[in-house]
Amino acid sequence: MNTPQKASNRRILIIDDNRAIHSDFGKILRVADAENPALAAMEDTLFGKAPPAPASQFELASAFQGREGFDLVKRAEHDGHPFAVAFVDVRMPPGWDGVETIRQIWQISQNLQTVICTAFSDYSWEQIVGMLGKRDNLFLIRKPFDPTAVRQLAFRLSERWNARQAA
Amino acid sequence: MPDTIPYPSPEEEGAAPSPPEVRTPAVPPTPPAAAPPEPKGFFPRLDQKVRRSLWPKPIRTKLMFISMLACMTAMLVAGLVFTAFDFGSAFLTTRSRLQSLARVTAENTRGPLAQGSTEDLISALNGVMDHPNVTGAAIYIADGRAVARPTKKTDFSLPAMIPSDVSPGTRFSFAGMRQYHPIIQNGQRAGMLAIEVGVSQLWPALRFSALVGTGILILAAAVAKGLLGRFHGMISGPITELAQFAESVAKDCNYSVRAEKRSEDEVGYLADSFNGMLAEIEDRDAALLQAKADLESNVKVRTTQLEGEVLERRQAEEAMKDSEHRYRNLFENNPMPMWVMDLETLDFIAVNNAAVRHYGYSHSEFRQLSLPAITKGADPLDVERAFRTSQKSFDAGEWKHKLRGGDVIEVHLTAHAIVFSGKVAKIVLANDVTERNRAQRQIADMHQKLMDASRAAGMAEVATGVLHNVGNVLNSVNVSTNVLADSVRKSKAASIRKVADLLEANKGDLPAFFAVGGKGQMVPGYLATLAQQLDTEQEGRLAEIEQLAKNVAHIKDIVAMQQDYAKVTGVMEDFAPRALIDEALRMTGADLQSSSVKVEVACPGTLPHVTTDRHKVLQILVNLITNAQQAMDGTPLENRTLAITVAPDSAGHAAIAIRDTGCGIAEENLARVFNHGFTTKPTGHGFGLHSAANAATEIGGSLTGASDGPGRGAVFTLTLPLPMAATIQKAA
Repeated sequence: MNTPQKASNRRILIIDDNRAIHSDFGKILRVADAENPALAAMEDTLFGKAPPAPASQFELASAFQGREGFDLVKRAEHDGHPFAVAFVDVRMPPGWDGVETIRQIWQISQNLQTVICTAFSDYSWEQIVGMLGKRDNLFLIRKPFDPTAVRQLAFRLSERWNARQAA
Repeated sequence: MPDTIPYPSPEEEGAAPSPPEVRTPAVPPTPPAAAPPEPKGFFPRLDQKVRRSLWPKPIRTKLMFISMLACMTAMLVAGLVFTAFDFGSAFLTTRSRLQSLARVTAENTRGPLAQGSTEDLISALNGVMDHPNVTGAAIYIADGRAVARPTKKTDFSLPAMIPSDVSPGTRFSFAGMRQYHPIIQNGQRAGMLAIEVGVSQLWPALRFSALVGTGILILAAAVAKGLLGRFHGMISGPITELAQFAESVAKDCNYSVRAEKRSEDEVGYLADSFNGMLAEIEDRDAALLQAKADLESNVKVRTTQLEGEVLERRQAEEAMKDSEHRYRNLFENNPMPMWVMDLETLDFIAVNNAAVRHYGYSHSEFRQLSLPAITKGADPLDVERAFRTSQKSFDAGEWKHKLRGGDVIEVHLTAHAIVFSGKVAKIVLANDVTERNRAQRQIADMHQKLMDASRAAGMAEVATGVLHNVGNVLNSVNVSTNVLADSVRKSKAASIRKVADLLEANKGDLPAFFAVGGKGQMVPGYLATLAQQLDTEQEGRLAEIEQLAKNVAHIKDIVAMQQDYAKVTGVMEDFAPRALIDEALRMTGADLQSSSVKVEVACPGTLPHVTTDRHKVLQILVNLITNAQQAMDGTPLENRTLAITVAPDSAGHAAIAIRDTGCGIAEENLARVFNHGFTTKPTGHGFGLHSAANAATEIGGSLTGASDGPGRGAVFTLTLPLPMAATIQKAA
């Protein structure tokens, strides 16, 4: 586990039974394709060079049930391409709920930075901590979530994962 | 169960025989234990002695003895073998050392012997004597005389003379070991070397071995005893337990208990067999008891029969031949309420004691009554009809009967036609089912409650589901909005401005700008590419907007579903309009007072009640009153008046008008006050009037607003359907 990652790990796993949420995450975390290169070249000549936008490509993987997510994490750990961050929904009928899923995943991936996504009608933070124990790699966002907050979490938590892995 | 029971033998049936003992609980006498078997083996006497002394001892002691004996014997043999081996090896080592010393010394003394140098020989032998344990050394010449013989230790010495023909080799004695070695010169034996060592150094080693052996033996005995003490329970424990169990069974004669099986060996098998035996005994015991009980009941039955026969005979003797009497006896003493009644009038002719007890009427009171008279909740004709049937026996169904105390019971009646005092009558049997029916009703009631509770739980589940769904869709809406904002922010449309700026900058010399090689040459191509890019952006945004619209529609559906659901729960009740208004004023009273609003209510008392959902009406009224009060914030204190009037309108509704003297509503805003999100208040959300108008529609009324313009107050009118006009408006 101590082998340093060659490149910074930006693999993110999304576990949610709602397909729309997956496409939401996609829209938030996948930067739009590079702009038309011909256009960019012409603009450079006509208007002078513009500073390049910061590149930030996340690799997203989707699971629609808790068990499926667990299997993905297991395979990723086995293949040596672990996930850095996971966003996990709370209600995912008919299988494991989010809390159970996280409990299972943590048994095979201790450092995985985990964000639990809940609606207001689900558990409170205290209830979740009560069920999962106090861990510093568990975070919570409420649905409907703020896209900027999600992007920030994805950046900071993948950095955090990489820093921990290097340590 | 007593131990002794009358037990008539077949011959003396009827008489009271002497009670023989059926079961002897006495413990059978313990048979004398057989003598120990005839001993065999090497020491018959000892063997016999040991066996005799062990015979009465418990298994535990026997086991211990046998195990210890085996263990000690093994240890002893091992110790002896070990000691012998140790001694033997020490002995062999000493011999081989002695042989090599003799060989070397013979070699060293060959020269001196040839030269006849006795001094040299002696010094060589003295060297040999310095070896530990060597007690003597000598050299003999061919005739057997010793030429050199230094002696060192006193206890042992070599003889001065030996037979000339002594053969080389090792001689052993208790004191030591002597080695003869020939000294060879030119192939001939020139002399004989003898070296002697004591074996005294071997004895301490032997003693030590014996000591260690004994120590180990004692230690092993102690450890073995400890271990045996720990494990022999495995064998002796279950046996002892079984023995105690058997003893207790024998003592208590209780055959229903079972021995616990503690192991899978022979003892376990023994426990099983014992249990099997117990089961067998128990079965037989039970069979015996059963037989006894059967016999007993047979005796009773026969006695009863005999008694019956005696009674019959006596009755016959008393010339009571009338069957009615016997019948009456059965009838009187029946525990179920019964009566005989006239076929036509349904008057009671006779009732039994149970009926008197149950109904509370005396025999004479009964005779004054008829069945229809005590039947409650049914027409007398119906009662007659129910009993007028040609069937001999029939089920008359369930009825309600009045008791003398006034209570009402529910009874199930069965009737049978009989001849009573020469007349055809009906005998009726009444079964009180009041309690049974009450229990059934309670069960039904509880079932209903359970259904309601499950439905309520289901509703909560649905509501949570709806919230979750809305949350998810809102998420997508949120994201779509962000994506759109991002797309607009990053749009290439801004580049058009840049092109315009470029053209503007080169306005002075456009021909040069567009000349071959100039930057201007790129402009048309750039614009074409840009247009393409903008089209792509536009498509993306349209797709996103379409998605957004879909999601909003989805939320609308979910909310509509929720509203349908909420409507069902509305409870419609009757209310006086005045009461509703007063309640609304009470709820808003504090605000009205603190802002010094004068309240006037005009409500004719003749107005009928309205059938409506109280919560919805209150919600609307409170909303309107609060709005009116807030509208008068800018009005001079003395002019702040809230007037509420109630009157029937032309459409058959009760119209509640709430008029204020506040800031009024501009004409252009009047049409929009009910729109969702419209507000003129700095902290308003624009939901209040919107939902009030919705609520008014839901309860079958309406909400309208009017104003003479800014500064001239406003009036909002809520109409509620009156019962006479209200063609009952169904919710949903």
